[in-house]
Amino acid sequence: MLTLKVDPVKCDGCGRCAVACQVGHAFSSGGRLPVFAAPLLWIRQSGDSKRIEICRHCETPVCADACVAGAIYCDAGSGTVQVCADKCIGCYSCVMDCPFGALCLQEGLAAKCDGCRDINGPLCAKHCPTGALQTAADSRAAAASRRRGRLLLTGRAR
Amino acid sequence: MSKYLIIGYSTAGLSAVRALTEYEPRASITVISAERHLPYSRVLLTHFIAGKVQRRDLDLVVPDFSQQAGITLLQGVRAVHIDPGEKRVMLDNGERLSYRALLLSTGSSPIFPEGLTPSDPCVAGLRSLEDCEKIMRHAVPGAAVAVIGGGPVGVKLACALREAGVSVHMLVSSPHLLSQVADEEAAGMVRKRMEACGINILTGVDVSGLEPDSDGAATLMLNDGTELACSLAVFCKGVRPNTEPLQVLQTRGGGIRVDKFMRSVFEDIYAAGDVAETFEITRRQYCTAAIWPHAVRQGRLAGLNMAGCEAPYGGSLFRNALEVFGLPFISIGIHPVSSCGNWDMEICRDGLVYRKLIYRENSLVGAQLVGRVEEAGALQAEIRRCAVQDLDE
Amino acid sequence: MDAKAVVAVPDRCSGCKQCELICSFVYEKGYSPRLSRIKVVHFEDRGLSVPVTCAYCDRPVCEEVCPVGAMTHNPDTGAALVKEELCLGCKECVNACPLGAVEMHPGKRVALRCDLCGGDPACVRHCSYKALKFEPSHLGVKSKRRARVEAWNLE
Repeated sequence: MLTLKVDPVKCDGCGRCAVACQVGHAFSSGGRLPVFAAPLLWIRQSGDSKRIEICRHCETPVCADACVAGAIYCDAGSGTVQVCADKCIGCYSCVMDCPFGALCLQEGLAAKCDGCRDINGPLCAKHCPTGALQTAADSRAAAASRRRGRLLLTGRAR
Repeated sequence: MSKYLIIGYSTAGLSAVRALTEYEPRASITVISAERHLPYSRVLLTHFIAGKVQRRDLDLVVPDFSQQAGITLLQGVRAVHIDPGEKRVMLDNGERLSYRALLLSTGSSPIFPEGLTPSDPCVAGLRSLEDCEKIMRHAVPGAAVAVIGGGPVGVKLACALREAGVSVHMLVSSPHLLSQVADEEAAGMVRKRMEACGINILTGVDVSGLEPDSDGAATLMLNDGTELACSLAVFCKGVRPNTEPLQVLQTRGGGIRVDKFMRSVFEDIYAAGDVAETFEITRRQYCTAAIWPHAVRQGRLAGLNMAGCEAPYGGSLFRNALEVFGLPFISIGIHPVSSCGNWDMEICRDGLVYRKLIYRENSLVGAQLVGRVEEAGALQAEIRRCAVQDLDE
Repeated sequence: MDAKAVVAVPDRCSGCKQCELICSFVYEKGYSPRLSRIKVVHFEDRGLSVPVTCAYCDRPVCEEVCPVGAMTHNPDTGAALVKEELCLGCKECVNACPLGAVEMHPGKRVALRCDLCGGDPACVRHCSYKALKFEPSHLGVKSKRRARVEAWNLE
């Protein structure tokens, strides 16, 4: 189960995540030459607050409910939410429903974070210098380790 | 006796089947479908007409899904009577089926003006694959087709027909397009784009009659006295929930009202999809909200609740997304039709971009976006949050 | 602030996980620790077990990060509520909670968080070792402090 931990407070807007995403996916198409597309995550700044618009790979994704073409699905193996480009018709239904703004249309097709399924990733989190983007293999395990750490830190587990 | 009986096998029915089989893998499920096709995506029909997708892309399941899921599928039959007391359903072939929990996901049908029926060769709706095939028989390049109704379905169909090379006349009875979901300015931008692509749009007119010609075409009489020749008239003037065979359950003129667990007033009878009347959170009233994401979610929650897993539904929210020849349009929530009460709005215009936020008592209740729509999801979440907060208070 | 909270007394906890079982039974009608809203953390090397559940924070970060407003609390009792009908399963709250007190329900795929059983927590009632208390949270802090001091004295 891929879990992306997003903490906009820590984000300083350096944009390394977006570059890493772009570069990483440019070489994943299999061709000899890189193919650069727009990054699959965006940092949006309004006033002092930042929003990191990236897919959270929800357990009951609203984008999949909204998709009229059945193009968005939960990939059980990797625990990610994926778009099947062959089925997508670019109807904007998913864009309308995702509360994180994690989907946009690129060249007429829905584009979203694929959890670096085909590459050794998630690259955005690997390259984030401030810890605004972090990954955990499993949210359950992450919560469990946080419980232990917290208890040790506060001295309740002497 | 089947434990779960589902009447209607489209989006909502299929979601319910998926939820039931996931939650209770060996449940005995019987599905009754009036259609002889496996579930297909109705929203994709306009894309099918435009030639953007193939027939196989419409299918929502693989051909042997019924075997895989272990459900009994009865195709080509209709339920004619339901006895909630005896927990029994009578089919039009005389068969009787009893159930432990029943889901009504019968969907909706297009509304036709009086005197016109879809059996007329020149009249069609757009709901089923058969309707779609009828339209496609007429939709040959050079033919003229009239699309009556300026709602989202009408707009989508007109664009699709235009892309297929048909000359399209759009007849809208309201003063502007998309009057249910957009204001005049947003609709004007959509209209401009459609007209630039060669669609003839007439607003403020209604069809008063239809005269078939000898060569299979027809002449439409309009209420302003003019006539319009076309080979087919497609009516997209809204839908009506399919409750006819289920009169016994019907409380009023509309759909089947359900509570937040998708239960109707009758014991162990659930409803989901176009036929269900759910609570709309911005309008604060029960209504049928016949859009795709509602059908998917309601179907799934109905399935879970039927299986005994209490899963409440958060209420529906009217929203529509359209793509008109490259121009995206999204409308969420309400747009004020009356000026009573404390309404406020915020408008941002920039060339081909028009964005409008609508506030009621200082909380966001509606948004219309044309041209740039990236924030739509976040806005929708905000509208939902505001509405739920207001309801709590 | 006199809102009451479930407060753990680690020295009394035997690590029997009865609280986890009763919690899952009350809410999910089954004895399954992974459906529990309270978790016992074991420190095997120290021979210590500490039950952990929601701290009913004054400014709950899980509620701040929820994009759809599914995480709420009762303003009078401080008890947390998850509006399951709104929850998307995006795991923002799971990631945000510094205590690890929020998890995902594996079946319903919604957030799982202690709601104090509506005012009479079953875990407190069923703890055989009185390792859980339901008391105003400032008292909890006090008794924790006292327990710590006593423990030092013993050492």
